[in-house]
Amino acid sequence: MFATSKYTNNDGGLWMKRISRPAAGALGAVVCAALLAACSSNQSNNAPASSAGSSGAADSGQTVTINYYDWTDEQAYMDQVVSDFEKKYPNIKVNANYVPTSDYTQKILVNLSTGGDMDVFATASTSNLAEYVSKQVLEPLDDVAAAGDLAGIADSINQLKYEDHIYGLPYRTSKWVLYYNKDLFDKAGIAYPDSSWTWDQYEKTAKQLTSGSGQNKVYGSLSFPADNTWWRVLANIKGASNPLNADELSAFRQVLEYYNKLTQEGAQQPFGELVGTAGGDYTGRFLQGNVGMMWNGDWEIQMLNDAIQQKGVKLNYDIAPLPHWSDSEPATTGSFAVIMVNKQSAHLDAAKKFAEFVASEDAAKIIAGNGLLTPWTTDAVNQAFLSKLTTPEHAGVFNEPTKVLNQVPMDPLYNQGMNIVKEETSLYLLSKQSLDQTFQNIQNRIQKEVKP
Amino acid sequence: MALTRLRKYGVAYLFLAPSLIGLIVFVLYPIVDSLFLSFTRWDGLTPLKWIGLANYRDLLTDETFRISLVNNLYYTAVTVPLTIALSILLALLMNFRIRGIKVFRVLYFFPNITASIAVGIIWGAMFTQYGPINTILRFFGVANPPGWLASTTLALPAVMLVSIWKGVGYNAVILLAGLQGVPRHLYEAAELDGAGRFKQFVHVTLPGLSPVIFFTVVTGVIGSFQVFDTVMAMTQGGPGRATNVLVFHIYNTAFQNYHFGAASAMSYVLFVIIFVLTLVQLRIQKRWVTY
Repeated sequence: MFATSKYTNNDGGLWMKRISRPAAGALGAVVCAALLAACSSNQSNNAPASSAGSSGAADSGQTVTINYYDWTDEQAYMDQVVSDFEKKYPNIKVNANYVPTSDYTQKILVNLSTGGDMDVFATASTSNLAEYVSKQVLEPLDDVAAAGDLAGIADSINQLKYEDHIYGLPYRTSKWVLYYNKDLFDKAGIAYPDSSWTWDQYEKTAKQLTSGSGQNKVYGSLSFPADNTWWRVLANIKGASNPLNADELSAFRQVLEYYNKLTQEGAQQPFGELVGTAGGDYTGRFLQGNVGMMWNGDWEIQMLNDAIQQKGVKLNYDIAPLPHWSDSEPATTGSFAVIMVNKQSAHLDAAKKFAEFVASEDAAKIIAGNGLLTPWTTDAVNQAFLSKLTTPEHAGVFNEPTKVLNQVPMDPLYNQGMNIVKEETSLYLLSKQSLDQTFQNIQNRIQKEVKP
Repeated sequence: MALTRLRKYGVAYLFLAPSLIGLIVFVLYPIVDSLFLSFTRWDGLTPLKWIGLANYRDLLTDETFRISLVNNLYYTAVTVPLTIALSILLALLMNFRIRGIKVFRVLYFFPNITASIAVGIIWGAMFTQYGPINTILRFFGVANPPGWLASTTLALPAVMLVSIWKGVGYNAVILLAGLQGVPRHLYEAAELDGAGRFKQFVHVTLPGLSPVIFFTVVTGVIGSFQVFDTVMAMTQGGPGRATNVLVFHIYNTAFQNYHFGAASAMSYVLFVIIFVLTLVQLRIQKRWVTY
């Protein structure tokens, strides 16, 4: 009934006739081995780095390779920083890995939980620094901070102290300013914003600038999507940054009411129209030329300039200091980008040297030369910044000595708190619940859900 | 004795080995490890801490978990019946033997092979206030088209729409195969008995298709409880928590809040829900599935 030849089977697999059993077995074994080798090759690639280091971390004359992780937006200037560092320390080679920005935090988490592959890494938010510290994965950098090289930014470093130790060094900072469309101001015959402006003045001017309808609609102020919490900048400049703190939360509430009022009065685009992809591209919307003013960070200058100079977009814009509240003094807000060393690194000495270099004035000159802000305020760094940022006219606003209040607190539970704030406030901005209900929910949920 | 068995089946095992090893390492081991994790508190970096059933007890009072469960049940209750009904219709249409029908079969299957993230982003752009959908609605005289993804009541239906659009092609192809497997002599017998087209459909086609429909219902329910990428790409769980579904909440709990123990507990509750639903379906299949 069935084929009795030992080389065929019921399915009539023709090819089986030509391959003998032992050969088939060997084929199976080879496929197996190939798959297992592919799985393990990832680990073996990293082994040389750590084994070379563990045998002679302090040996001069022996090249040490360290792994540095950063997000892709930083590649343009960090590559220069890395090559300058390697010139200064010929014995240390830095292997820079750039991860797409949206996947970065997850990638760091995976790296930290698998051990010592990652020596030095960066983060854009001090709340992440606090989280990493509370998870005990960072090497203290007190000795690096105390060394002479970083004396110029001692104040900034001290802002990052957590339980009396330094775990991260600031190498970039940010500042929020007011961006405005000069042509729209000229057309409406209104004077440009200056350092005397209060947020009442902003509201009044936004209403004055709003005009037109349909295709010709001009909004005086730029509103962000409902689930974007950049309205909190107006609370940050009053010293409120942590929603987990009841006093600071009430400042958030006042600011949110003001922000929503701007939309209710018609000076901002309704939030319902900004959901999803429609509202996410604030640069594109400002570049279209039908928005009078917006508050945004220092990075926006580079993005606007690129579009104007390289893509031929016609926009006449300038910047001014952020307006202040009538009951507080002028201030701006900003957050640090921090460089940290993995406690499990096999080359702590080399890693610390690299971290120190990234926070040093030499690296700051490179970073500033790319149009970004650093904690350094020396003339050399300021010059480098202004030489890159020749437009707009008032780029010097960034170098003004206005007080910079911290935007993100050093609280490991901050991210959880802000998530709740984001969910509830987006409902308020979309007119789904009242202000009282919103903040009641926020307080209840923070109490119930936020835990270490 | 064992040696001869090894000789007999050794080659077979060697061929199975690559897949088996992959299955054990990447599927079975994480499942077992996750069960263990659900009884601990772990943030991915600091040492584990055994806390027994505390995670499960916390789920009873976790409001977001309750919201995501309700959203998911609503999502399943709408997408599964609608998808299957539309797939049956589509399969009937694709069964016509006209020129070029094969092209249409491929076209209807396309949505299924596109990446969910890309689909989510494009549909998200279509649902905006002045996007294609609302423009068409305005053209037909609807004065105030809804805010879709800005509305707490319509955001989840919008996600459902995209999922149905994506899943109909796949189910239709399976149902088409089932359709073509219904014996023709049954149709002839029904016609001889004087049954019209509709009666034939109800009494011959549907029972003949019932095993395939059963399969699509079971896989549809399992799949709908695991919806994630469409939600992530279109609404990120918003507005508020209106489209927060189970897997999205699990993802946030684990990778945003670093509560791996709680997330594992939620995963196991999800597993139990799907398991129970599947068992129920297996039980009642005796009533309506004819082989």
